[in-house]
Amino acid sequence: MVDIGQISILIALVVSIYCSVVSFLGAKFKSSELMLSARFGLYSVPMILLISIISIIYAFVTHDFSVLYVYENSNLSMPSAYTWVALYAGNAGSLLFITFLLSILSVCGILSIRNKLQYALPYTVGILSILLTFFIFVILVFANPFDRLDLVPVDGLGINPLLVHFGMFIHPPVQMTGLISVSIPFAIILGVVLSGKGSDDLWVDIGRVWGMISWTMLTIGLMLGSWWAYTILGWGGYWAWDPVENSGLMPWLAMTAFIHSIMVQKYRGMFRMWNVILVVIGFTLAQLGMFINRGGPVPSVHSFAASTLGWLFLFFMIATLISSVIIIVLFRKFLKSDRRLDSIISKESVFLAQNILFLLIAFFTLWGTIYPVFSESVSGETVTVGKPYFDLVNGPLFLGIIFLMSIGPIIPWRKASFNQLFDVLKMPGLGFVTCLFILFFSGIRNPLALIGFSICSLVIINLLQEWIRGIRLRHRGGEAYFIAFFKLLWANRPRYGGYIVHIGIVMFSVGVIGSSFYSSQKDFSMSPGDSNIFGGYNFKYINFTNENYSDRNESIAYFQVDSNGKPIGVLTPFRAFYPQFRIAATRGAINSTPKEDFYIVPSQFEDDGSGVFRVLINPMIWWMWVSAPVIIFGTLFSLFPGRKKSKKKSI
Amino acid sequence: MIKKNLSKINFDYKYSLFIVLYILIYLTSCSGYEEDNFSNRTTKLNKNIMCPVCPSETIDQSQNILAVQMRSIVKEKINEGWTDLQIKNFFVERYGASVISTPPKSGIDLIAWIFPPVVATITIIGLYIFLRSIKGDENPDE
Repeated sequence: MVDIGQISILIALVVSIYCSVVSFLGAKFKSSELMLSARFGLYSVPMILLISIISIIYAFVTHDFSVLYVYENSNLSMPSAYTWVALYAGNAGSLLFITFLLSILSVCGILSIRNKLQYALPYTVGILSILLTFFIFVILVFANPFDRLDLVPVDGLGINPLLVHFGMFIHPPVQMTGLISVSIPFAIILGVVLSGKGSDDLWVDIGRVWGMISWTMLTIGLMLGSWWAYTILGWGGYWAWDPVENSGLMPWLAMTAFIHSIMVQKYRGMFRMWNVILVVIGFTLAQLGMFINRGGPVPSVHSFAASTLGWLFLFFMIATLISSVIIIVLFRKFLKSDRRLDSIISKESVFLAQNILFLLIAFFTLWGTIYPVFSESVSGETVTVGKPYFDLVNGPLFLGIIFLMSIGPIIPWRKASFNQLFDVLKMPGLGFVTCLFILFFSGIRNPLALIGFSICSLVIINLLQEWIRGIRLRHRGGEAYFIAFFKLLWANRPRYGGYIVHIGIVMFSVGVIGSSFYSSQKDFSMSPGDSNIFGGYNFKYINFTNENYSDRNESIAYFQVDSNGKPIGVLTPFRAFYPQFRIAATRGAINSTPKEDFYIVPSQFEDDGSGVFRVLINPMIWWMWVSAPVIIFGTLFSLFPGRKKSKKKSI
Repeated sequence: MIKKNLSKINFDYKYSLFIVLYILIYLTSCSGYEEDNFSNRTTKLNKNIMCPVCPSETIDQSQNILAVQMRSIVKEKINEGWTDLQIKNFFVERYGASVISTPPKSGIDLIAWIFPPVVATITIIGLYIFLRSIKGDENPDE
């Protein structure tokens, strides 16, 4: 069975090399047979890779420890459901998994442009095949999950116990899909450029849809990751600016810029070149993530241990970046805008400014992530670039983006005079100042939090105003308010879906601002029977239990918690110790309300039940997690296909 | 179209302001709790000191034995009346500059701090100059 997997990877390599060569040849000689052959070849790759996935799963299920990867990532006591997790928990397996995802997404991508963008087809197939070839080659030569051991061990090493968690089933696959899916808009758009039809805006809609798909996957991946960190990893935070977190954030930033500026192309026929550049940046940053994750030079909690594959990915990243730049330069005449910007005061300029801010954040994040390497090579001394640095550098830029988010929707396209601008901004400006005053006098004194909350309110004010205006206009046309609301939303889904996402982002920002400026934490030494008070919460340590499992010992504490006299119930934070790995994992217990979270986690636990418990009160953090469904709903809403395809110039 | 819409804004604006007022009153529940100076300082220091043996985790985050020890050293030193800087230097002497979560603000590492604001300023000024240079080209597309 293992040999079948091995052989099918080899076949996949041959097929994808064939596809990349033949597809470009087909395009050169305009031979539809060659193009078709390459396309169908690509269709077969996911099937072939599926065979190797199945065979490695089979090896896991049958505990075939003669396979090195199975030996390293599983053991006899592991629940069999975690076989699936073990598949992508290690370096070689995750590469195979990513390649498999890429092949499926490639087929979907090709199918989506098969009819509409025929001219780009051979190039897109070629680009995707090259990507697949690279990945499969790396698997086969450098990280083969089918490598065998000469001596067959009795039991495997097992996976890191921190990974044995339900979140592991969702977060990594989604995050990997997000990162690798950036390849699809990249390949489609570059394919269009190569075919010399860049000026033909037919690709805008498909490019936008694929951009949003990978944006959504990245968003879900990042959200799940931070939710997991917050609820499970037990340090009370959700984002640490760890190098691997950053490498997931950077492509997200670039893709956010992309899905906004592609709207300018959709409606105004501008920013063509810029959009191509953005998607190339997004793709490059996604690859950089691979480099950092797979034994790049920066240490991280997430890294795959002892893998030097990173440099290979870095090399490939540079190669694709250089070839993309060459392609863009060669075909630049097809990427000219239909028209230039009319005015500094216009929706177009707000989009451009927003793009620049997103790229700046991505750039500074990159800078901070790789700075330790730079510093070490220059001065020989290692330094750390951690959370306080990133908060300081990127925080103001994020505020700037939220500010643009507030004024962007109400500034007209093309050109507005100063008088118009004044008219548009008069009331929101007043509202902003009012917000500042109200918040200030009710006790919010931190200037950044003050400005942050006020800008968030401004976004809501302006969006509601847009909505109410539209509804009233429709109401005057004879529709009931309620129906007018839905019809308004439905009539312009890309726009109103976007607004729904904006509301989600405001909810998220409120959570971030509230929890970063107003969270309080304190450590309490407590033994069973003690009680303490913190921030209006009264918590009593009732008792504790020890439970022994085959792989771990759990010490569970029971706390009776009241909030200002109102009983909340019993919270049970616990600490698990895995003797085999010598790893301790703590899990916090959370009482979450829209106002604030009460979070208790053991940081030290003695045998007699006494220990140090950390208590955190995190205001508004509930909103961060609730924003996720809102954001996803908004994205899906704006993606929902309409009957009319191109609505260019209709606004 | 645009002009007609603009004239409507002031009126509709009132409605949205009411809703937002409600949100604002809600937000003020954020104003926070009194914390004692001691745990404030320990938390702040813990969040700025890295655990030397755990990749990119602060001692505040990490459950490693060394991190736990370092946390209690921080507490001890504060009780003994050390300043934040003294405590940080104490750890730097033992574990090197990388034990602090941000690069030092001196010597070559000043670049890390100067670079972002300089780049941001140049970019934003550049963007402004670019946008200013636009001469509304009389493109008859409408």
